[in-house]
Amino acid sequence: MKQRGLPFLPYVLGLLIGAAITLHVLPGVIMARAMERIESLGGDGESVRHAPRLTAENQTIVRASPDILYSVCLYDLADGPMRIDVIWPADDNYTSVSFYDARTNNFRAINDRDVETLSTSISLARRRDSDMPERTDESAWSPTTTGLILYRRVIDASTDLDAAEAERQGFTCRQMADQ
Amino acid sequence: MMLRHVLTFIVGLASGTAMAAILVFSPIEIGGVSNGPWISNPHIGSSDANPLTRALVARRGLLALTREEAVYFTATRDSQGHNLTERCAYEVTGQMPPTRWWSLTIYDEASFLPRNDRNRHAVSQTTAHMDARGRVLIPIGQDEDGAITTENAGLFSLTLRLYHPDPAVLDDLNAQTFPRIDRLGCEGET
Repeated sequence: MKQRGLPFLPYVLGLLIGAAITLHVLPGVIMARAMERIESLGGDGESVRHAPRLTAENQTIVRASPDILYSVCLYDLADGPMRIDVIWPADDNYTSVSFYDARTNNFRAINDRDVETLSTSISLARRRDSDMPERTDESAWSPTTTGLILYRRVIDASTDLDAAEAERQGFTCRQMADQ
Repeated sequence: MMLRHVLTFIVGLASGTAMAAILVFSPIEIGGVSNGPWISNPHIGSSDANPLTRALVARRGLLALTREEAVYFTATRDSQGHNLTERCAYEVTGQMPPTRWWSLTIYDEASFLPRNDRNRHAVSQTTAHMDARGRVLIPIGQDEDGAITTENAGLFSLTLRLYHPDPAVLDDLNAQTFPRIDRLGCEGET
């Protein structure tokens, strides 16, 4: 008897593989596009972009909050580890520095209540056995060579915005110097 | 015969790719656990998220924090199960779950703040009206102080952010009290 219609097994196999590859690849593609947008707005591997307070007119990332001040730093660890510094606010509002790899995973976050000091230095490297040219308070290891670091700081009705603006200038990212 | 199988496989591959892309880029919400109209996914931002959750989060909640830092709840429907729409006025009332700080923000179907110059896209713990018992009353789509405006929001969603939620919120979501979203009336209704 002659077989008619599509062979079922190859079709289902193709369907599953196609869906799996797409779901695997999409987060990286979306993240890369977001990083391109951020880079086009002024951030790069050596500096921080301090985004203006969020309004309907200046949005670049989905579901950002107008009650938070955001600063962002793109990283590329191809040339070695980076050093991130942050000064924590004095008003006890939630503040954090969170690390995202190129596949969107939030692999590390440090917040104002994790530390007892007014400022924290963090080293970021590709692997745990990386040589660290500088000593820092905290360490983070990125699963991917590129990614981004996001500074969040809650601002509310009683926040001194000038002080908050000055404090977040203390969030810096730079390539560690070779020694 | 062999060529037929290869061609069918390629058709399947294209179908799978298209289906996954449509799923991720459609208005579908991330899904997960729910309490009333509020839905959250405990794997947001986490490396142990499954591929579909990770792709949906990348599309609809990129750069979210993990649940140890913040928990995000999104509502696309009111407490009666109707879609939230700018054609109607609502009221969010009740007790917020215990947390260090919370905020409630409106997003349009594309997950951005609705395009309007009213500058009233969010209400937070420090700006919301609260009664003596700590119950919030947040008008949505109404023209009064403390209201979140819905102008140009279309079918919208509300995202409730809990920063440093009480461990009880993470342990047992169903035991927590969340505010209700009640529809007060819609355009064209008498």
